[in-house]
Amino acid sequence: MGVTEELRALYGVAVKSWRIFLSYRMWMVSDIMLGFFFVGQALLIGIGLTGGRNSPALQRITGYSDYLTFAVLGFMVLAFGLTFLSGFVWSVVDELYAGTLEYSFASPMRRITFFLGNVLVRIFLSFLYMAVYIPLFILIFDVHINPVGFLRSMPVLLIGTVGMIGLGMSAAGLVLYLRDPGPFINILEMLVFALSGAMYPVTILPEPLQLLARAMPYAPTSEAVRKVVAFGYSNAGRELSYLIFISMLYAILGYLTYRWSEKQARVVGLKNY
Amino acid sequence: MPVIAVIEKEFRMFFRYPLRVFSSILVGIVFLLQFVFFGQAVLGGRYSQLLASSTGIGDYPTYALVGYVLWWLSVSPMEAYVWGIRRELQRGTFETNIAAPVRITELLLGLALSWLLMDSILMAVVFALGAIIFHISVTLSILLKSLPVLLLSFLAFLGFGFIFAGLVMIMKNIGPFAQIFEFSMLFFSGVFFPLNVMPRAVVEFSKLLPLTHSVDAVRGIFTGKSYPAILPSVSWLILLVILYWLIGYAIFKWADGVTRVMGYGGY
Repeated sequence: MGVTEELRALYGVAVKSWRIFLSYRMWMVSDIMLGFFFVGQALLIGIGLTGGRNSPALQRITGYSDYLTFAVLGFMVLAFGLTFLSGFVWSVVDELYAGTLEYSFASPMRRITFFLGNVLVRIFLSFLYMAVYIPLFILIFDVHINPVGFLRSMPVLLIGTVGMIGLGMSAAGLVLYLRDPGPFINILEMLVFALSGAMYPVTILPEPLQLLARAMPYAPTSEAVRKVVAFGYSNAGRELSYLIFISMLYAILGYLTYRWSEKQARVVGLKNY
Repeated sequence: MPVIAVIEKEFRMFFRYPLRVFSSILVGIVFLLQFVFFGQAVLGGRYSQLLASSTGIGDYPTYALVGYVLWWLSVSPMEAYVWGIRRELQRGTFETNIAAPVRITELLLGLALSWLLMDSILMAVVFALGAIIFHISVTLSILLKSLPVLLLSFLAFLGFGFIFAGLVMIMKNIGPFAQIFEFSMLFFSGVFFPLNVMPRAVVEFSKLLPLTHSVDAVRGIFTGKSYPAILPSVSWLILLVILYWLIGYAIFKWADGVTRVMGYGGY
C-alpha cells in the first residue's frame, strides 16, 4: 500500500473507533468525572489530614509544597501515558471479543496503521480532556499551573511517550497470545497506576517497588515533567538522561516483542471467542 | 433453592480463572495504596492530629482501610446488577433464565448475594494485606464485634443496589452512570477524608447513604467504642435498610412492568 492509501486506512480506523466511542456518550462524562474525582480526592485528603493546601513533608521529598499541583501533574502524565497502553491493548482485545481481529489483520493496511488509528482517537480524547481539566482545575481547585512551565514540559512528555508506545506494543503482542487477556490487562494497568508516581513520589515506596517503578517509563516521565515544570531543564539533567534511556529501551523492546509475537500468531493463528 | 444455585454458578464462573481472582485482588490493593501513600506523603507520616480530632481515628492507614473495604462491598450489589445482568443480556441468557420457573427476584437476589460474598472474600484478602503492609493491629474481638454491623450494612447495600436492578433492565448500558455513582459514594461517605471538610449541605446529604453510617460504626468499633456509642449510626442503617428495600423494589416492579411490554432484549 502506498502512503496515501495507508493514510486513508488510518483515517478509516480512527473514524470507526471514534464512532464506536461516540455511541456511548456517557463514557465520556464518566471519563471526565474520573479526573475530577481524582483531583478532588487529593485536595480533600490533603485538607482533611493537614488542614491546609501545602505540605512541608512533600516539599522535603519532591520540592513541591502544593500537593494538589503535584497530583494534577502526575495525573496528567498518567492519563496521557495510559492512552498508549490502553489504546494498543484494547484495540486488539475489543476486536478479539467481537471476532473481527482476523479480518482487520487480513486487510492490506500495515499493523501499525491499525494500532495508530485506534490510539489516535484516544490521544485526541486525552488532549480534549486536558483542555477541559486545566481551566476547570484552576477555576475550581485553584491549582497553580505556570503556563510557561507547563509548555516547557511538553517535549519531556513526548520523550516519555516513545517509551510508553514501546510498552504498549509489547503488551499488545502478549495479548495476541493470551486466551483470556482481560485480567492480564487489569494487572498491567494496575501496576502502571501504582508505580507511575502520579499521586505520590516513588521514593516513599519499598525499595523493590521503587526499582520496578523506575523500570517502567511512567514514573521517570512524571519525575522529569515535575522537575522541568518546577526547576527548568538545567536542573533536570539526571532525570532527562534516564528518561531518554528508558524510552529508547522500551521502543526497541516494543518493536521486537510485537514483531516476534505476530510471527508466532501467524503460525498458531489468531484467537477468536 | 434457586438462590443457592445462582450463587454456586457465579462462584464457579469467577474462581475458575485464578488470574482473574489475582487481578481483582491486585486492583483492590492498588487502589487503596494510591490514596494511603498519597496521604502519608502529604502528612510525612501516618498520624494526623486533625483527623483524630474530627473522627476519633488519627492513624490514616487504619482510617482509609476500613472505609475503603466497606466502600468496595457497598457497591458490590450495584455492580452485580449492572454488569451481571448486562453480561447475561449480552450472552443472550437473561431471557431464558427469566423463563425458568423461578421468580425473577430470586435470580437477582442470588446474583447480588453471590457478588457480595465473592467481594467479601476478595476484600478479606485486601484487608489482611493492607493490615500487614501498613502494620495495622486488628484483634479478633474487633472483627467479631464488627460482624453484626457488617451484616446490617450488607442488608442496606443489597437494598440500595436493588434500585439498579430495575434501571439496568430499561437502560441496558448504565455502566458509566454506575461508575459515576460509585465514585460519588466514595466522595460523599468519608472513605478517604473526614466529611467535616465538606460543606454542611453535603454532610447532611451523605446521611442518606448507607455507607456513611456503616463506615462510622465500624470505625467506632476500631477505636474501642461500645455498641451503645455507635447506636446513632446503627439506627440510621436500620432506617435505610427499610427505605432502600422499599424504593428498590418499587423501581424494580415498575421497570419489570415496562420490560414486559418492551421485551428484555439483548445486544
